[in-house]
Amino acid sequence: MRTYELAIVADPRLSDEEFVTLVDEYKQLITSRGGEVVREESWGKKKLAYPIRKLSEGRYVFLFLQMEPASAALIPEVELRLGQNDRVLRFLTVRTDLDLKRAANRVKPGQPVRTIHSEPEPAPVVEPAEEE
Amino acid sequence: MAMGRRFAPGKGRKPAGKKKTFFKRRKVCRFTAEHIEYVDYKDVKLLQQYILERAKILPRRISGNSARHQRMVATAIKRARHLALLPFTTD
Repeated sequence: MRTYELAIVADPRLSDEEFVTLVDEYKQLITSRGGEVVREESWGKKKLAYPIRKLSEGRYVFLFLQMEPASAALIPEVELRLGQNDRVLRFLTVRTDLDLKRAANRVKPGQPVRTIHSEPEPAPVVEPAEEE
Repeated sequence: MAMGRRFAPGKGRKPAGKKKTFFKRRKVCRFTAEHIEYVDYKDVKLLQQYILERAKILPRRISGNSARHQRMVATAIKRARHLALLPFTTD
């Protein structure tokens, strides 16, 4: 199983609905080709570090994908469509399973791999006592 | 307290007292120390600590990062730059 992260920076002039439609379009494409969107992280409108197409803001969304190696051919397809979409300012796909696996091997056994370090350490998850 | 080596009079190449003293500050790779094994390009706050005022990547000789970790930081910064999370330069 491979995991990928797909980051999309969209035009800030899109309305909330338009933005959701745009992201849904890609989510559907991914799902229809055997990929799975595991998690989605939306940062909303954020100031760009430098202007892109004379715009100073962008709408950020990160999709966390999972798929079998056989389905990985959908990635170039998604990238092609993103490139053709003029409402998308930037996008980036990163394959993360190999790096995370390598990191997990170096971390003490049983310890989770932390990816965001500027935030305080997450509180240990307390397992709910009752069981289903 | 020994203040550097003293040379026998007349033998030293530099006049006594003018000998340069070097301070060796021990540089520690933060990532090794904190067992950070994955540097995320989304972690802007962390990456900002590794760019200079002109938005250049902080060199290893300054940060003291291990080669492996420096590589991870550099890649993450470059990815973040592409997404305009970090600047390429300041104007």
